[in-house]
Amino acid sequence: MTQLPVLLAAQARFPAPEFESYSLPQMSLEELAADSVLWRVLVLCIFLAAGSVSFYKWRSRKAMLAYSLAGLAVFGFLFASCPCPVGMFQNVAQGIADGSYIQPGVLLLFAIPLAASLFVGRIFCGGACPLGAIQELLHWKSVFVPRPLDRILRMVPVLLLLIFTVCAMYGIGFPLCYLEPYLPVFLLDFATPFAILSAVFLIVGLFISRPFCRYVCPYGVLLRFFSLFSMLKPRITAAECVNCRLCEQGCPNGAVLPPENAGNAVQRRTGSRRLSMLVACIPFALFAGGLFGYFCAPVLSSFHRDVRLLHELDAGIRSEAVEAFESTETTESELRARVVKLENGILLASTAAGVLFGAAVMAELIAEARRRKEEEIYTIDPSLCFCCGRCYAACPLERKEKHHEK
Amino acid sequence: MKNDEIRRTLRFLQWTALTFILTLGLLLAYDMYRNRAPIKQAQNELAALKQQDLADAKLAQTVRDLDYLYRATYFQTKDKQRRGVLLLGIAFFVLCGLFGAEMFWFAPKLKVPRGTASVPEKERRQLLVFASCGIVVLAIALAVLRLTLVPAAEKKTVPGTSAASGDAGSQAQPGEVKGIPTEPIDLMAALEAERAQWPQFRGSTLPNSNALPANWDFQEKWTSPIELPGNNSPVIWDDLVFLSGGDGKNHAVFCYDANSGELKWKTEAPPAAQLPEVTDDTGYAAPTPCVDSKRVYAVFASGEVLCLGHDGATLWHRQLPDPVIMYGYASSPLLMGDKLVIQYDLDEKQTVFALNVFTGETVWQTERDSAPSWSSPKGVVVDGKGMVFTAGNRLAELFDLETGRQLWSQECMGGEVAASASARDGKIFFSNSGAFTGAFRASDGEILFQNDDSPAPDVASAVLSGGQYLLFGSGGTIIAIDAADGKELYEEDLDNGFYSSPVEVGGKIVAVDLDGVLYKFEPDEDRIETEGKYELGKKVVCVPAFHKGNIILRTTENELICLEAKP
Repeated sequence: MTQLPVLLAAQARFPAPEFESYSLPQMSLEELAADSVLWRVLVLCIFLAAGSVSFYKWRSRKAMLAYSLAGLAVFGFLFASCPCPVGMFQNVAQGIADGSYIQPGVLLLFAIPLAASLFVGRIFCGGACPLGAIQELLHWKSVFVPRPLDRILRMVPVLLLLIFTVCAMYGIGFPLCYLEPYLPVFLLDFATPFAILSAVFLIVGLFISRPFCRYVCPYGVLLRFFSLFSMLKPRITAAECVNCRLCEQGCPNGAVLPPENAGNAVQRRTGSRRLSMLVACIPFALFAGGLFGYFCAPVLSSFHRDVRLLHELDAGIRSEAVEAFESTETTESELRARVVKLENGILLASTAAGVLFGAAVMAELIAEARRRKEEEIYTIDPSLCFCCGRCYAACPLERKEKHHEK
Repeated sequence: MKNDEIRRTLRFLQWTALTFILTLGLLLAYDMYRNRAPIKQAQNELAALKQQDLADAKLAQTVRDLDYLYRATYFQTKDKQRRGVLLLGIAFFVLCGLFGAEMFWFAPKLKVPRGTASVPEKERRQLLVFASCGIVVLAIALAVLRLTLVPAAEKKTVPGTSAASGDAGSQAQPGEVKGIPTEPIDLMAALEAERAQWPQFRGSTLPNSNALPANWDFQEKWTSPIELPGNNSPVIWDDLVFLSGGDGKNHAVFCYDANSGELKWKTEAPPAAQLPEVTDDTGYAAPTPCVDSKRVYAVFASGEVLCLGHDGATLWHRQLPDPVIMYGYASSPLLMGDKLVIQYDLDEKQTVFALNVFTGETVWQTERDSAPSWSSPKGVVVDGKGMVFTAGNRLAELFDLETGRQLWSQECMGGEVAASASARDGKIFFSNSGAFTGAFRASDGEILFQNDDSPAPDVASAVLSGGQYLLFGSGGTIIAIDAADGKELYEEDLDNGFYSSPVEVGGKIVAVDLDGVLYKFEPDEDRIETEGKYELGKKVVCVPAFHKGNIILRTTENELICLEAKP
């Protein structure tokens, strides 16, 4: 809690008094930053290890709840929403794009959950992520989103990831940070309009499980992709599944998949035709995605400060930015050249991002259209599972087994 | 304690925490709202007091007291809010803990599953429907974003619509900008002064008063290399020759001494925002510069407009919207008093700009509903009033020089319009292959005659001489038509064609063909008489310039040659 007073004091910004014979001491945050980030990396590793044991070894919902609560306290309130799944990827994308220095601690905070997901799936989302933890704990009654709609809405984070990576790469800023709804809670700063967004997500989260994780979080897209290749995959019960469907109904995140019935020949033919059609649509989807990105580019460019500055110059607006620009040695011609270069770069990146989005949509549709292995049991999609352990608690066989163990 | 009691207690605590959070949140919001106005007011009062003379001890003390009070109030409010917010955070955490505790202690009851089991096949069908809807929603969202944001974005990224540029026809206030003094320029005096010079494309707006060489047997007085290529023609003011050049990297204006051919200076334009694609025939510096008594103005294919002093110092620089046009931008600017008129016909948009010669700011800009063309605007003066004639694909138009207001338009043009007009006695003459050959009345735009029979030139601009309008074709044909009724008078065939526009100087027609043969013609009633012929031996596509009885030519071999008559 040593940093909390510092953070709180930092909120009370006020113009310094105009002393005549006293100079204010200069603040320095270097020591604090360097120490705290590496410390956080260590704590994160410990949390991920503890979460993995709780989920895979103990298979305990209770342990995962404790994991979430501890994660909320430590990463949410103590570390003030760090690691932040919204800010991290933007920091790294910007650092990679412009070659600026990325603090090793930040890079580690970004990379460790991804690396962990290759071994233990989305344990990070289970409770080490402060945003995941608060949503996990503040979920009251589950309203289920129909699975097909859920799959489509899960494309939104992909789109956000691509768009905001382009934004971060080209210095448009980190606009996604304004969509981070739980930050006011963690920073204890309820300034509008962020407090309103925060309230909306908190209320929605009472009924729809993890609305931010499922339909907004861009870092979750990366975790989802990496966890497809996870060494350890969550499974509902070691015992024989009796198809009671309780696990499916116990999972509010739609990660529990029903068994694939054998189906008749007509269904198979229809399925094959649908799959073939989707595969044939891939080039069109890539083209449409590219076109989408191409048309998005001017919208993105319009948010860049240089483009806005040029607009103000052209429109004759005497803004602070224009006055600041005029006090520099940069000429208007140089600014125009920079803007043109910037716009061309954004156009290219946005088009590429659009193609990627088209590919992601088609991958999702094809993955869903493909018939799974015909098993008579309920399985868990490791890429969608947030490792909350609800299915363990919902499974009667799991309970029975634990009872026997006791 | 029984399980039910624990659960009831937990539920009670959850509701209590929730109520506490909501109540405290509302109180904090109200407190913040209530304190905002008084703090702001105190801040303003304090700022107003500080503007006064603080040497007054009483006032200084008042400021100190008020400052103290203000800071004390501010920090007290902040402290109160901070404590409230801290409580709110703790309550949030407690609420999370209570929710967690309930889930921790009470495993979900095993219930009979609701509804029927999921059918993957059905869900797959639904997924495709949802996906289609998603694509539609995304397309609509993008369309809305484009409509709301992109027009502004495009507007803001179009280079060159300067602060003074307003709606079509609007006029900026004259004045001093960035310390550059402006002085009124009388249009007629300026046009009169330029008659003795060679200030722009095809000479002066009013009939040129330069003298021709004493005879047509020349010797090269001097030859100077030109560093950068360009298809623009030299312009002259007093003893200075100006021209421009450009390639894919650099654009510059050059100044030579008209007497010695010495390069006096070269000024490069700032890097262009974007270089358009141009053909070799057009190049990056096709527009001929303009010059007045103090400044020289150059336009490049990159859309840059550069204004320099006669000493080569940059006075101002403008970047017009990216000149995307087939072949490349080639229209020469027109100097009319204190305005530099640029016919800016692009593939997408056609605009006439009038720039303030002192500052480069847009005095007016008028969009034209036309199609791309390469024609240069022509200055027209009727009863002392300046006007600008433009020819483009589809429309011939006349604009008021002062306001940019369209005075009239005639929908009689077509094809690729590259030539420029001639004007005299309230009439405007124009001829371009595939477009139009004829004359307009300047006052109302009425077509006085139209000649659809005679082949019109496709590159060189026709020239007026006496009562004849002479068309010099790129195939080597010279056709004279009657300037009164448009009837063809005669036709002459020469060995080679003309890209260089002929000009009338000293009552004669001077033209140079593609092989560099320099002609002096005297049009008669039924034929054109060749009074002089000099073989330069170098290809020329530019218009010759005249200086004190000498002729200055730019060759396609990047040379500037001054011809003087042999003694």
